[in-house]
Amino acid sequence: MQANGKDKAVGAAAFSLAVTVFVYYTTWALIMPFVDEDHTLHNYFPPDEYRIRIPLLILVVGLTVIFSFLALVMIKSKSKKTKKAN
Amino acid sequence: MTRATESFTTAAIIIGLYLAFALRIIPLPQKFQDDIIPVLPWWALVSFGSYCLGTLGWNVMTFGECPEAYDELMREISEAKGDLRSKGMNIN
Repeated sequence: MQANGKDKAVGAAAFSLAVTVFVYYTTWALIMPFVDEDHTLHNYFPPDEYRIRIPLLILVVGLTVIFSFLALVMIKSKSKKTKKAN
Repeated sequence: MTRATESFTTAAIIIGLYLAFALRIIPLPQKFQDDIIPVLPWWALVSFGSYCLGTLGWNVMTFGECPEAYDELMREISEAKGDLRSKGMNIN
């Protein structure tokens, strides 16, 4: 198992994405409230309500996916066990 | 103090402080109270996700190649396969 060039590219992409998301969201949520209403910087960010809606949506979707996967795996293992017992 | 105790204590302090500000037990200027405090838990969640993804990506990016370990591992795997095959176990 070796980390070839393609793996490293994926790693670099993930890293840059993480940095970008962090910088963008931190600027939007913690710095923009202190910037005047009429500054042009506000044009680069969505409206204020989305500061909470977007992470909330991501959390709900993420938890749904995780628990659905868990439920599927548990159901599959349970049906395999009952099939074996029959 | 165990690792778990330390983690729980830190978490309790941070949550307690946040609740004190959020429930207005400790007063803050209006700008902070209305715009910053409500968004802090979500910012923490986004930061935690970014930290996880970033650390993963960074470690994959700077993964230290160890060709000797790779060769040795491949050799050990084929040895183990041959050994088990001779004892009757079928491995692909």
